[in-house]
Amino acid sequence: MFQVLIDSAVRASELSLVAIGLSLTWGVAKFANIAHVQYAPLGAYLALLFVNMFALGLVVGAIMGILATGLIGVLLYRAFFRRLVRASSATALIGSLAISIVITAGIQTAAGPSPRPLPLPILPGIAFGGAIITRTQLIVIAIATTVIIMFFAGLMLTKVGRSIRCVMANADLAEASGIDTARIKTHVFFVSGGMAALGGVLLAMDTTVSLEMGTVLLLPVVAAVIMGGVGSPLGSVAAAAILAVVENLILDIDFGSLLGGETTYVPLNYSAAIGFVALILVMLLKPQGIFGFGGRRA
Amino acid sequence: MLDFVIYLVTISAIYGMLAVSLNLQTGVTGLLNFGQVAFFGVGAYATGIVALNGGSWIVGVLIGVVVASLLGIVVGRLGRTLAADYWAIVTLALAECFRLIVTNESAWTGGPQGIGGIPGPFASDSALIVSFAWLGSCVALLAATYFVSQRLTETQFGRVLRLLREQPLLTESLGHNVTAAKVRLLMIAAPIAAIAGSCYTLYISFIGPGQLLPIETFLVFTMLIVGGMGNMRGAIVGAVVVQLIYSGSRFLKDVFPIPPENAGSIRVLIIGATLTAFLLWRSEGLFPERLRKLDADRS
Amino acid sequence: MRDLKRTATAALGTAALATLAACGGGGGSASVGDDESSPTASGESKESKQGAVNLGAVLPLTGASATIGEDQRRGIDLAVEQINENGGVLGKDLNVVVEDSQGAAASALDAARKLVSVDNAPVVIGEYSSGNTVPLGQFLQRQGIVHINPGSSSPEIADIGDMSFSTIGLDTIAGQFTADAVYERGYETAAFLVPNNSYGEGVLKTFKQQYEEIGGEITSEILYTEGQSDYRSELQRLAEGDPAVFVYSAYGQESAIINKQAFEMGLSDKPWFGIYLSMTTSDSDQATVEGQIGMDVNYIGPDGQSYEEAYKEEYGEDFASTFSGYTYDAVMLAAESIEMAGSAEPEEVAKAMAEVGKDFSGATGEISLDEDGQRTDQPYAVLEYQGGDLVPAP
Repeated sequence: MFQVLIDSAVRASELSLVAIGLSLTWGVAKFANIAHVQYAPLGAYLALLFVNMFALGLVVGAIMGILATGLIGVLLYRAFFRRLVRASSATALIGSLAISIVITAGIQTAAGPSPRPLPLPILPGIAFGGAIITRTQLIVIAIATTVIIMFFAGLMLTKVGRSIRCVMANADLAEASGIDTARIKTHVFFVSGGMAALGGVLLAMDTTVSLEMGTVLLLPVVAAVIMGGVGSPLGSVAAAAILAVVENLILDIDFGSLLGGETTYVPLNYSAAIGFVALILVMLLKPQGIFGFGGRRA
Repeated sequence: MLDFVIYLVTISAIYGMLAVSLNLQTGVTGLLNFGQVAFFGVGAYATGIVALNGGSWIVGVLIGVVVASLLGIVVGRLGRTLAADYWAIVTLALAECFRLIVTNESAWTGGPQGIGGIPGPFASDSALIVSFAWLGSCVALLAATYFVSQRLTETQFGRVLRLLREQPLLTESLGHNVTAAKVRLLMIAAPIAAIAGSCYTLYISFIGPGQLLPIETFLVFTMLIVGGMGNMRGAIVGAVVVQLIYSGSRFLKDVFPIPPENAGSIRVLIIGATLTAFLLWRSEGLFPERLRKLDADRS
Repeated sequence: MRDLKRTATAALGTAALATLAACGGGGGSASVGDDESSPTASGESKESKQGAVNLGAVLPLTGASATIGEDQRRGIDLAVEQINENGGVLGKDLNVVVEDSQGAAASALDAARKLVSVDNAPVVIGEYSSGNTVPLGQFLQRQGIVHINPGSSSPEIADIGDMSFSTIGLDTIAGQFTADAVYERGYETAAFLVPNNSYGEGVLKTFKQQYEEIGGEITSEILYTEGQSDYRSELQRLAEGDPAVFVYSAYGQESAIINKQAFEMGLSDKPWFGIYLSMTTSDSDQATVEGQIGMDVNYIGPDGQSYEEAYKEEYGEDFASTFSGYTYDAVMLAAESIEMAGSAEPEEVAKAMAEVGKDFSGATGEISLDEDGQRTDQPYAVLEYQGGDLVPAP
């Protein structure tokens, strides 16, 4: 039981960080940026680059990687996505497809296709209550929780945060009341890119720096964003947590014994399907999000 | 060398069919189908599974067409309540589910390493004759799909679809059943993709879940953007151009000193860069249609 | 007017690429010289050479098995160098064009197609993973080209056809050997982890058959999906049955993650038995695999001394994997068969290879091919990982 909680907490931490960013940009810029999930491996690879190239510690390297990714997110928006959104959100969606391909292929060309570990000591995990948690996982949960709390504090309490919420609610009205929407959008893309990169670095610390990190995150993250309501970062955190628990719980239940038969588990090879099915169900039944926070889109 | 060129042209013809099918969905009707590879996969695997169990390729192709058509109906009805970009993501999720099932149900589908050694319809001692037979068949099929699709867009139905793409509410208010129109369209477009899938499987005598990755759908989208959405000629030209770029880039390493480990990713990078460039500077493609841009907010 | 200009530019660009494809692909055209090959090791190149006997190889230079693929390439390089120093083949230089399979069947087939129709290779060596070797071999069989398998062990390979030969032994024996080795050490319950592909399925089947027959019990068997970055769920399931030993096989880079996570989860305190131990430990962190035992091909035969020395001299290190000897032997076998046939026609070469293969002294030991072109005996050894080296286990 504890193991499910630990695994869910770690998974939720990583998912939320990426999902918050996507929810924000989708709500503010009005298009689904599926390249967003690629900021996670991008951040992880850049962190690795800074650590190796400049012999910086992991912490400094990671921070630089995160900042760099935030900048790249802004650049991509200003140079590319902004133009496409003016045509239509569908064109921007296809554009984000192109950018995801470019990011993944670009990373592979520069860094090679093999996964690489971040320079962390490999230590045995800590056992309690029949479960095991590694020191890294503790750090992941701690950092993610802190950052998420800081983010919401910023969103709710600061002037910039208020402006962001205004722009998400009604961009025209916000502009009319004197908010510089262009600058706000820049801030949003920077923060989103950075948080996704942080999610990627944490995920890499827990597992490894790999190319497929982004692609594997795509559907679960989109599921979390839509379940939570597009444009509602709080919703996406809640949805990410629910999704993480469901994923781990389903794999842990011995359905066979429950139904009075032999020990049967859901085959692990189908674990990815859980996210997909959640997404499809939400899209079909409640596209405005299970909490109803999201704007009416369907 | 000749054999390789024939191979390139044949594969381009097969991708051309996929592009025409996707064009009917996206270019003409405004349906962003990010799961196009699933229709392809249905035809490909139907043929493969039937061959695995000793059946004739004709049966395989027919089953592929029927199942794809049914899948098209299901997917079309899903579109009823969803905005274009949401529908795109649902189709992506569905295609990924399909790929996951195919990868794991090894008893039926050969699992991750797929089905190999599939006998094709042409038996001859000369490999060259078989190559030419394939070339001829695929080009002929492409021509057929082109004509069928072209005629479709010129009919009343085609006009309704284009109106649906631009002004769905208006279409509805004029008395057309929007969902029924989408379903009808998909029942035509899906089998075309399935036939392309069957051709592919029979041609290279192999099918595996690696063929069903989302990148394949994205490749076809690139072909449409490059060629020009909404028009069939554009779809085919786009298919040829992108296929040439993709296959031609395999030879880059013979000319430039590119380490072989990077050759694969550079080819994909070129495709991504091409798509990006076109979206920025020529989003209407090489052969623009008169009504060019999609507007998902209104569909 | 602008439209026309743009379309013309696009058309020109495409024409340029097409020309590139046509030129770059063919061997020895004006733009691509026939004496200077690519800037890598001596023997192998990326394009065929005029005036040389060109063979082909499809290897996983990228992907999960890249470390192995690279080592396989080294074996080829050394063989080509050796052959050319001794006068080449049929009086000409030998050249092996190596293409990347990217670890995927479709790319492997694509690469093979290029080797056959552009480079006109009569023999193609490849690949490493059974899931790729089998379709590759089937394609080559259909094309009437000789196929040599230097790395895969699925029993399916024996059925490919009369143009297909193997320098490495198939798994029919590997699974049994492992079962015996494990049970003899007193491990009566085992958990089994292999990749979800034809290699994994094959070795699981043969292991299970033997192990259960001699009294062992498999507590859980997991075929993991390749290419993941997190194997904790799989490891948790394996641990649940509380087995006496974990029997596993995984490709280098995935294996590194598996071993790392098993270590973190405290599972390495239990015995681990690796099938093809050199492969499963090739990329793993030392601390995570210390003390593991496993089996591996006895990869250097009595005549292999000179090969081992040549390898050390060229690359400055011990064997990076156990697989370079097999590609070395494959090239040697091909060269000798071509010499004996007196021609590079695939059919003639195949006939000669069946003869030569009956009694061939390779770097990996005595190779004696049966009527399916497969090795009749493949010696294995039980090894232990100690401080970065594989030594015979007690």
